[in-house]
Amino acid sequence: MVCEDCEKKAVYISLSGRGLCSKHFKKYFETKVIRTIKKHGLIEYGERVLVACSGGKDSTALLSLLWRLMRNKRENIAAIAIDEGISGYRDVKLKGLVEFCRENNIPLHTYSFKEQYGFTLDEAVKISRENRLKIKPCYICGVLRRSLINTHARRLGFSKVATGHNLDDEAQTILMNYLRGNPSLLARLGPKTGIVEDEGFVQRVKPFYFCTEKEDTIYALLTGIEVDFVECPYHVENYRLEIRDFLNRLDSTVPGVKHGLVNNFLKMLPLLKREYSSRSLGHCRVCGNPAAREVCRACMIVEKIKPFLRG
Amino acid sequence: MRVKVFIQRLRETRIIDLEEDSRIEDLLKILRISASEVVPVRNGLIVTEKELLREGDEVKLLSVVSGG
Repeated sequence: MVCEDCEKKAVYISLSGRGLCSKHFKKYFETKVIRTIKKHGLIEYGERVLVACSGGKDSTALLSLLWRLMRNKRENIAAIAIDEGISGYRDVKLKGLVEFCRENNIPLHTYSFKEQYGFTLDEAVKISRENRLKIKPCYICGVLRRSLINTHARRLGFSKVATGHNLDDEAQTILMNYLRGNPSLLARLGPKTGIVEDEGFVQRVKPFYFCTEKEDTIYALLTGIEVDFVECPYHVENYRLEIRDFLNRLDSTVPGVKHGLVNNFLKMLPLLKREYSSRSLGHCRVCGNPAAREVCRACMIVEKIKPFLRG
Repeated sequence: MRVKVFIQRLRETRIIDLEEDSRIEDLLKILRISASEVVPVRNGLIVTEKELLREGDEVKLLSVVSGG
């Protein structure tokens, strides 16, 4: 198959059946990201953006693209990474990210669970299992990571946190919340997250919202970003994994189901936001972050784990 | 014809026998891998699922899904 624009060998076939070579694929991908940023007002002129990086291909590709797009305002962009303390996984991923940021002179702010909370994720999971606390690894990781990113983004004076979430991630989250009956969580999704405005929240935005994971990967490969496959040891306990495989199987027989799911969801999102935006938020009495309860979910996890820490 | 396939997600290399004029998409069907889960690389170059395969080709199926 050849590129529709120049007849060179295609590296990608779009959903509409259009073949694209490496040069025209990059143009197609970047145009899609820029259009998403503009159409959904993800980053306004002069805003300071902190890119949340995991060391994986998606967030590194996003960092690389935003770093280039903001070449005239580089003082307004930096990266943040959280080391949760997952032995043999995050340490490996972060090594590549540190190298990438050093090569490109991108400022990188790194924080760890150990220094911020006093325990690694490995230790928290062990404590939870041994003491039957029934807190899932992905829940601990997600809640504590988001809390740390928000705290430091606000402290460092950034107005947006950009994440590498893509169309596949969003389709999975939408389906997971539908099946679990969580409409209030659905209302927080979309290219810009959140439903309630609070000065304690730094808004999270998803410039890759309409790009599939396959497109992200091809873009990362074509821009020289390493695409490894190191699996998180806690991944197997993840409900998302089953939803992801189900959607991919369905997408191979009914191409475009993930696009359909996300696009139809976006039509309903304003209604969901309206329904759930009236709920007022307070602030956590422990850390001061916005919270629906007296103590935020991050501080509740820390309160449960800390009594079991030795020394 | 016979091709050598490296499946990144499984960290496994397999030798697969295919009919003449088979394409990457035929290989994916045999391996029961969805096209949206992998980026095919044939003899070092990224290709589409429509790419024709030849005897002795080396194919890498890079995983698009993140491991975490």
